[in-house]
Amino acid sequence: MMRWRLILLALLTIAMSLGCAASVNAAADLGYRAQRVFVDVQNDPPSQAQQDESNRLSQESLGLQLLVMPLAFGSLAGALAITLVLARRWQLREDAPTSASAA
Amino acid sequence: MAKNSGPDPRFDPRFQRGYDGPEPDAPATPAASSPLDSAGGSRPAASTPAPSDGDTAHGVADVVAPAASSDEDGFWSPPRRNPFALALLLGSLAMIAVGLWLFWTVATASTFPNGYDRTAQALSILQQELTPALLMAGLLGVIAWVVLGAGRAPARGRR
Repeated sequence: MMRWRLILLALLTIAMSLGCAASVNAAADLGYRAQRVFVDVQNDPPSQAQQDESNRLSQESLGLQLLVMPLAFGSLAGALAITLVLARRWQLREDAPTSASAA
Repeated sequence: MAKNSGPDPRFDPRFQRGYDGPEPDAPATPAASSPLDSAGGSRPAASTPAPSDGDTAHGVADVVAPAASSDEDGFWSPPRRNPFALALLLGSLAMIAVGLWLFWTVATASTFPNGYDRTAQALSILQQELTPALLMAGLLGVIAWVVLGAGRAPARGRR
């Protein structure tokens, strides 16, 4: 009856963990490309256009980093929620004979 | 020394080597009664079919009957542990432990992450962003475990 909700929760959890991993990967890549301009500043100083490009990449990297924590928390909380639902179902199943006999 | 090939007259021939009759489907002699059976003979066997006298509405009562009779017999069975609640608690504690470890590694790092190393940058992002998420989720899991146990407490108190 409620199984499709559990499946939906599992799919959401997997999607959020994949999104978290993708965000970390993209943010690290953008940050690396932004820093690469300044590898040899003494001998090869970056032009203004390169600095602007580096700033843009850094901002995008920071923006992606903002996504990492909510996605990571969402995936972890989703995993815990699945366990909680299963634990509650177990509890209700175990308590059913007791409550029936008490009534 | 010749071996006697006939059945031993002291025992039932159905359970001896060389018996060629119909299959024995029940023990010839009744099994010795166990202390459990002698203490309370009213407990129904697990394989005993439910009485089919048309009262299918009493299905719950049929399920309850063995537990009630075991209580009347004086035998107490320990409550079964909820494996999912245990997994919830252990998972939450593991998240908190990993979060604390990551926090410790970030706080005690002696150098800044190298911006020119892509792997080091990715690990740095993971450390900084995953630490609070792990701690928050772990604490939330512990709270959920406590709430799960609190929801069951009144049911135990009724006994």
